[in-house]
Parts: sequence; C-alpha cells; structure tokens
Amino acid sequence: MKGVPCSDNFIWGPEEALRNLYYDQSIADQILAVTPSEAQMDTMLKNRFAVAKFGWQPRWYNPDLEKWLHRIKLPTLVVWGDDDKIMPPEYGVLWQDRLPAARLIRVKECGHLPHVEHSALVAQHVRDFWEGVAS
Amino acid sequence: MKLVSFHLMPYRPLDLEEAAKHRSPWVVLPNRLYDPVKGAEEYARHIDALVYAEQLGFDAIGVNEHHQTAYGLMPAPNLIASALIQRTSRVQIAVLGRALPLVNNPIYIAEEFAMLDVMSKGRLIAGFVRGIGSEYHSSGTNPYFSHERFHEAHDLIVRAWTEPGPFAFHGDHFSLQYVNLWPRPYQSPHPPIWIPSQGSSETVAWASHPDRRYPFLVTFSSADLVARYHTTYREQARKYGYDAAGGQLGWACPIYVADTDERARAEGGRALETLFNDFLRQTFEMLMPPGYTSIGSMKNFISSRRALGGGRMTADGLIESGTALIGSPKTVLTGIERMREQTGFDILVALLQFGILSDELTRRNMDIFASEVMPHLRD
Repeated sequence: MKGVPCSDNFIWGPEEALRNLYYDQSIADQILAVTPSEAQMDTMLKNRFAVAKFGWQPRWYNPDLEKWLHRIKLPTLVVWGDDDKIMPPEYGVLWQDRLPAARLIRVKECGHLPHVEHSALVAQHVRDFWEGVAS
Repeated sequence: MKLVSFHLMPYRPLDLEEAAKHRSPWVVLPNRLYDPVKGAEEYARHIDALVYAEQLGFDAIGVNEHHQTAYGLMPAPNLIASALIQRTSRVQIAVLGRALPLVNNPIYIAEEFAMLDVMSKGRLIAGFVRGIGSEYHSSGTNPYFSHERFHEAHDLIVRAWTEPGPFAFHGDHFSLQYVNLWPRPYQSPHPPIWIPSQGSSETVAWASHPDRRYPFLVTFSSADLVARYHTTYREQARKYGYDAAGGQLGWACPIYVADTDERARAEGGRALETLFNDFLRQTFEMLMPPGYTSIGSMKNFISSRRALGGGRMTADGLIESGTALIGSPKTVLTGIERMREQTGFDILVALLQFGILSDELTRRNMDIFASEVMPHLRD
C-alpha cells in the first residue's frame, strides 16, 4: 500500500523478528525457549529465501494488484491484528474499502497472527461468517 | 609485483560513541551525524593522499563503491576517479569496483567506465562487484537475483565495450533495443576487469574461467583464508586446463609501517580496531540478505560465525591472524613475502589509510612503505 510502509523484518534479528510477530510476548518467550532442529532451520531458511524473492521490493506489496481488488466480489472476511507490526492495520481498512463485499474485524491486543494469538475469537468469527454466507 | 594504493574514504569525524548506539554504521545510521563541512575536508584530504601515491611510485590508485554508510563516502566512485584522472598522469585508476546488480541499466556503468578510460587515455582498471549485503537493504535491489543480475550486467557491459553497435540486448533482467556506446573504451579490447571479493567459491569459479581469467582480489580476510582462496583459484584454473598467472591473484590488506613493530602498533592499532569494530559493524541480517548467497554458503557462514563468536576484535588479534600487516618494514615485508611464497600472488592492494587514521600518520605510513617496503617488491 503506497504511503503506508510495512516494517522491515528483513533487517530484524531472529529474536526481534519473532517478538514483533506477537502482541503477547509470552507466546514469543515460549517459542524462543525451544531450539529449532537442523531440519526446521533449513525450512526457515528456505522460507526466508522464497519470501525475499517475492516480497523484497517493493517491500511487501505489489503496486499492480490494488487495481484488481474490486474483482473479488465474493463475501469476504478480513481479520487484522490491531497491533500488527509487520503490516499495519491500514491494510485491512484498504481491503475492506476495495472489496465490494468485505467485512473487517480488527482484533484488539493482537499482532500479525490473530489465528494464533486469539484463536478462539477468530474461530468464532470464521464460524459466524461461514454460517452467514451459507444461510 | 603490482602495487595499488587504495582508499575506502571513511568518514573519520564520526562520533563513534553515538554511532555505537545504532544498529550499524550502515543503512540506518542517521545522516544528521554527517557534517558536510567536515565532509568537504575529508574528500580533499583523501584525494590528496591518493594523488600522492603516484608520486611515491605506486602502479595504481584505487577507490570503491558503498552506499549509505560512514564506512566509505563514495556512493559514486567514478566521480572520485574522474577527479583523480585530472590530477595524475601516469598511474592506473582502479575502481574496485562498481556494484553491477544495484543498477537498473548497466549501460550507464559501461558508459561511465568508457568515459574514464578515454579521459585517462587508457589508465582505467574496471572492478566489478555485487556490492555487500547491506547494499541490498539500502538500494532496495532484491538480493534473490543478485548473482543473476551480476552475470547478466557483466555480459552486457563487455558486449557493449567490444561488439560493434548498435545491437539489441535481451536478458532476463535488462532489455535494451539499442546498445551503442559513445564513447567506446580507449583500451583494446576493453579496460582490464578485476573482481574484488570476500571469496565465494562461485565467484572464484566464474572469475577464473578461461574466457575471463579475471584477477581475483581477496579483501579483509585472515592470511590463512587469503591463501586458501588463492589456492582455490589456482586449482580451479588447473581444472580448466591452464596455470593461473600471479597477476590473477590479488590481496587487499590494511598496512601500517613504522620504524619498529611497537611504534607501528601504537600508531596504527587503534585505527585498525575502528575499521573492523566501528566502521564494518553489521548484523548478520544486513550482511547476508536472503539470496545474496546460496543456502549452502549461508549455512557455512552461520556455523563459522558461531565458531568465531562475537565481541570486539583487537589489533593484536587482527595482526596475529594476518588480516592486517602492521609493523616494521621487515615485519610487513615478511608478511607479504610469506603469502607470495605460498600463493605466488602478484597484486597487492595496500590500504594505507583505514579507520580513523589521521592524514599525518597516513602520509608517514605511505612514505615509509614507499621507501622501505616497495623497493623489495619490485621484481
């Protein structure tokens, strides 16, 4: 999204990057207490390479795609953490504005991963959304 | 032996204590810490020192490119090279080098180098580099495509220098309907191409290929590592079916000479420490953005770093490991000769100003190097 910079998680160190994913730092503490295996490290490195290939420049967005958002006409639920340090909540607002049938849920006290940090709440929203669409 | 006097042009007035509060003196160091008035003086003094090297008998004087950092103030090294051409008449001018992947149209690099070559009547040495990891943060260039862009830009530049134009070039990263250089380079077929590197096996294999045989300069490494990279280059050349010449192997090294070892350490030690601890300080994420090296090389780097540990480097440690040559003329000469016996390298890129080393000490260092060391390196 032009004018709303994402954070630069490519320059963050591993602990910083992990901590910045979560509002609730106790989750980060739990993950940091576990040493990843060699295989997990390999997967993380591979993911990092893939993510750089697509997300490095422009950082985390493709300026050509915004103009197509209006084509997503299906009912859509957008869930965004209010304290997302990777992609600011303005992104969620943009999606709500551009998608003809979108509803935005902003989750309070929540970072980049609402489904991890507030799983019960997010599950409830998904269920409600699903039932609303089905009926 | 070919002798190059090389400068990084660090910003010496930097408030080191203030700079230490930031993640790195690269990319994110607030530029309010740069004072253009002091900066003007810095450019003048650094250029004076390089010009003086011609008088002392060096074969070449060298500059290089780095971006958004107090470590080196030459984001556009060709501007400095152009000034050096006007103030010298004999020495070669080595730009070590331009970072090819960072530009969106490499023809501009081909053109600027051709201009410098013509302006200097064939005194240019053209260095090609990928730029260090931090440069991918500061330029926004995607590190994932760094190798591809380097190779493609190289091919385009060499073709632009050597093939009759106009012609069209269609690559994966650069596409041009018209390639038609005005001016063409002065040297035929083109200026010598050198490859400064911190030594990746991929780069060694590429530079030593019989189609290229580019001199490979190892920078900022311990003597053991320098010898290993030189040996790798020689072995690779042999695999290709030829013997590498000494002129294909270079060593870029901080050097400080004084009449005794003690004095050299006392005068040059602190400046050396600032180079490695203050000006070069970068995080792993800055040095190794994803894709800058293969996953395998990155894993090697991670494990070697874990083995090395963190902490400040000391002048003694840097001297012991042969990362820098600091001492009496005899000590410095021994260090050079020892490497020569091991690898037969024939290009010495001497960093005679480094870190916060003052103009006065730089000048004294250059004088003693020229009078006491240089004569012994002339074959």
